[in-house]
Amino acid sequence: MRFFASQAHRLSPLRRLAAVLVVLAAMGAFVDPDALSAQFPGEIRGRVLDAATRSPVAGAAVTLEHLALSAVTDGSGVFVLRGVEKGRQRLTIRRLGYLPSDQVLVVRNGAAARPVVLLIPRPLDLAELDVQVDRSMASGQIFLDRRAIESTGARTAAELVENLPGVVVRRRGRGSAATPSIRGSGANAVLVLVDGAPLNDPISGEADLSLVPSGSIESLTVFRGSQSARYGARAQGGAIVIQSRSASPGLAGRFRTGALGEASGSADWGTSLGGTRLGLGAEVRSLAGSFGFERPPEVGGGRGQRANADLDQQVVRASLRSPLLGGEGRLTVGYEGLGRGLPGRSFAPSESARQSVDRARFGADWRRQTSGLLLGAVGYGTRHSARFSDPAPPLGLPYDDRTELQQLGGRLSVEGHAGGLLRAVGGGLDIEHQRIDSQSLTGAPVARTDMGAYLNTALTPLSPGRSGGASLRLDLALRADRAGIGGTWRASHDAALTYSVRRTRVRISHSSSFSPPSLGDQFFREGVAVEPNPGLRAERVPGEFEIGADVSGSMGGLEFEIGAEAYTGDLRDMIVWLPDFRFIWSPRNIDVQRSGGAVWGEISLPATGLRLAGQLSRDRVTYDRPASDSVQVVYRPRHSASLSADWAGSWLSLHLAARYLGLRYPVAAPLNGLPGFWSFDLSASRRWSWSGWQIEPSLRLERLFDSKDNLIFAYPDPGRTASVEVRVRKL
Amino acid sequence: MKNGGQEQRLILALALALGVTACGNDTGPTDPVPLPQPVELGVVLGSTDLSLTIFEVEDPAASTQVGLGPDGSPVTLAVRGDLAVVPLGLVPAVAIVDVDAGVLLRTISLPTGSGATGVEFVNDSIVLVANPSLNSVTPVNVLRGTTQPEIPVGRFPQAMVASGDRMYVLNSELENFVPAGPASVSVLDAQSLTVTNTISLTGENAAAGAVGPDGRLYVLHSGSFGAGDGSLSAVNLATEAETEHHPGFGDFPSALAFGPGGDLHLTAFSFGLAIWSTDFDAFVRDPADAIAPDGVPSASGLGFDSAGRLYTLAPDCVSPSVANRLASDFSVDIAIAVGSCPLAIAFTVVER
Repeated sequence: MRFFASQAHRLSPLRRLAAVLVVLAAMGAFVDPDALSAQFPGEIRGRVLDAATRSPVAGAAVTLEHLALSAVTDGSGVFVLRGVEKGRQRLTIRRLGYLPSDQVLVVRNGAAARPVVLLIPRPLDLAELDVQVDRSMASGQIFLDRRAIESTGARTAAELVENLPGVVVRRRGRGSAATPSIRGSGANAVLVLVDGAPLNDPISGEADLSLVPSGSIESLTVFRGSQSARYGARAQGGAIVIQSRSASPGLAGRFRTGALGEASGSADWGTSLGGTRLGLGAEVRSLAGSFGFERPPEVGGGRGQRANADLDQQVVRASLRSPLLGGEGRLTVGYEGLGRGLPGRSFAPSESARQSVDRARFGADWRRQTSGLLLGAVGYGTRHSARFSDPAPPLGLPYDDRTELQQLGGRLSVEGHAGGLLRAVGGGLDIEHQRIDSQSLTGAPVARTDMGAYLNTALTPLSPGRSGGASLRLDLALRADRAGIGGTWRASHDAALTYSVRRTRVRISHSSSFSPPSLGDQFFREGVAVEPNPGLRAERVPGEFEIGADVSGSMGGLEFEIGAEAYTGDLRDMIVWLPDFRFIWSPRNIDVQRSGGAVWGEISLPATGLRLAGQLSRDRVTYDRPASDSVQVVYRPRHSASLSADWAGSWLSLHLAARYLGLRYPVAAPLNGLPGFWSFDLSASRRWSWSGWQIEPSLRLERLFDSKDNLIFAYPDPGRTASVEVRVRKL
Repeated sequence: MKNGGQEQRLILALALALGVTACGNDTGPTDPVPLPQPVELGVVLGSTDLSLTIFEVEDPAASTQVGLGPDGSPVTLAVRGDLAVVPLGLVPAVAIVDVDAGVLLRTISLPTGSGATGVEFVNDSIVLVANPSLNSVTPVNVLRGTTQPEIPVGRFPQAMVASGDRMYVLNSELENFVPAGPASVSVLDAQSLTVTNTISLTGENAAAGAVGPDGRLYVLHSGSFGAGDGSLSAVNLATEAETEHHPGFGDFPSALAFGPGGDLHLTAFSFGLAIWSTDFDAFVRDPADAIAPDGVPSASGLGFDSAGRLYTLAPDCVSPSVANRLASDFSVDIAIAVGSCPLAIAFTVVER
């Protein structure tokens, strides 16, 4: 540690990166090259096609169940499974509307197997009929499955999404709440669904992703840009859809310990009882969270001690999957308890501020495919208790606010297939009832019912069978929502045209969206320096235009995938909290100009076990006002980027990740800018098999070069920390 | 040895230069080196974008903006010579700006929880900064970047006035940011920086003060927001006692300055610009008949330059705002672009 600290002060970031690479290379030099060439794990890079039309099948689930590896095919029908042990492997491919397929193939050391799987449509079922396709194809999405989630070493959903294009996570120190922003949106304009239930806090409108441990996530999908036509109110900047851990047979556990008094552990167990699968899991996590820090010179400098940054979290979950009423039913229940200190800012530390959350929830969904129709029903319920208190705040008055929320909602959907040009038509109804009792609100309605109705359709003017492999698909979605206070119905649309040929895809879309003001915006209890604004209007994106393209392929032993996207869509009535002349803060509507884009790419060399990936995002979010149209909205970095390098050998896997947050302004002027910064994480892991168990210890160094910057000024980071984790799984 | 060699070479070069100068053929007058000329600068505090806008009074288009830091809630400033000092409010610190060079020199830490609001120069190097949340003031050496121990004063000090060898600290007597009683003035000896007296006032929420041409200290009380109970106190500095208290100053007046004619000008968000005659103890333009600069019946601050021209600040807290220089008929002569939510303006003279 001392070595890294001393070197970090002397070396520039690029030289630091070079130094790390040299160290890694040196580590590699100690490895027996023969052993390496002989023992690299293999990969499976396959493609799933419709057996009748030879068109790609997107959204098919591909699993190597005994290795707990899984993937989902992309729009080109392509899937990748990495880190596959050599030998005969049984691949299972499932997709609604097709007969399940099992394939046996041989995987060799350091080589990629490239199976092409033909899925046979069910005679009475509908080819390419799945609501998921409608949702995913219409806009750019990023999908992380369980294996991808585990490979990141992330603790929470926040750490999972913060390296993704266009996503910026706002947090106030380690262990704090972490809220996402997509394409420069406010955190209250990103809808987060966990098993169909919104995670967004009804008072702030923001979703705290730190409440969701990564160990409880089966899959996570990020939809960037306007999504109200697919997901309803609040999905104005984007949507994050989280599926809880499914009930997979076996036993698995994890334990982690590290700096700042971190300790966490989890256990998951699953079994099959006939056609029914049951899964149980639990997780605990704690953080002592006390550390010293240098106070920024902008607030006078000096050294401070951050106390009261502790955290205790408990999670219990269960899932049940079973045949039900001719279809398949799934039930998930969970409890999350959290208590943590709210340490305040470096210049106004509080040692007594605390937050506690108790959240119990259930989610149930059922699907049945009959001739010509896919029927679906989703139900969810949440009981959420939260308390914020500080008997001795450094500024303002003591407070002790409690909030009780009961939430019950559901969705009914039906999808049909018409064949030919009209591939699919569907629609559904959403309804949600909330009951809120909060001491932090004044004059807010206690109960509220939000509703939504939607129609989706997919047209294929050009299908691969008729055009030599090229396909053209038009996805249309219309939705009407009554959400928020006032009972106003709002319409949203999304039209997306996708052209695919071979492994190249071009997508153009136009969409609209909105996000209503939160209860806190409108009814937060008036007090010292805070004033609500009951007259706020909803944020609206009247029209977001987006164009994107991606291509994947191989050259020699190199596999690649690159993509780019650009968007423009001004935001009307963005809700921003601003002070008045008395420094009373209240929310106001302002207009914002918005445009940007992202490029990303991934290169892998299966023969060497090396994979490099990176992305660069630009999100121009500026005030729409005379003479200052280039001023970026407060705390929206115009540029962000991430880079990662993975090397998987037979005895060791290394993962180096770098994240860049660009220049951002803490005020609504091109002044007082906070310079951009890089942070680097390095992890090393090794996997053993022993007596029927798979054991994988790993070491993780975060903020490798001791960077202490944060997105938000005056919430210092402890800098470099180390942690050790051990995962075990019964094979 | 090495240094000694350098010194020898330096002495030799200087001797050669002197020799060349002495042997120079003085055939005519050399161009005189231009002497520094005084330039008056206006300095406007942008409160919500944490900025200082610095402009030349005779050429307002020549302006620069300086950022004060990433966080804070400044509402007051003091300038003297090249230096501007801005307490950062929520951030317990003061920002020191070189207004001639247009750069932030340093930020000096104040006691934790200060609430830093209110500042005045004691001399060229020492300023007093009010700590309203700590009921004290802190002497700060702006040249060295050091502070001295806090000096206890009355409750919630948030403004200061310097006059002669005295510093007058205006105590607002707020509790939880609302008036809890009549305001007061703590009198400090500027040499010893000790409190010598406390003057009781009648009005509530003392917000600003100035010494008038009659030698009296005038204290403007904002009162309670929305209550319309703004008022003015006059203090005899010889007897150190309030001699007059005048109600009727409208809702939440916040700034005052004396014009070249000796009239007291004051501004408020709620009405704009009002004028009070200290000679007649009566309004020239009362809040109900206030002047609306540029047609807007609201102003967030005011000041006079050395030529006696009046500047008022437009209270736009969402977008960049303007400082309006008013003609004698109170029409806008020049509008100067400034930061958002401008709350204070001051003038100083530098040499360039």
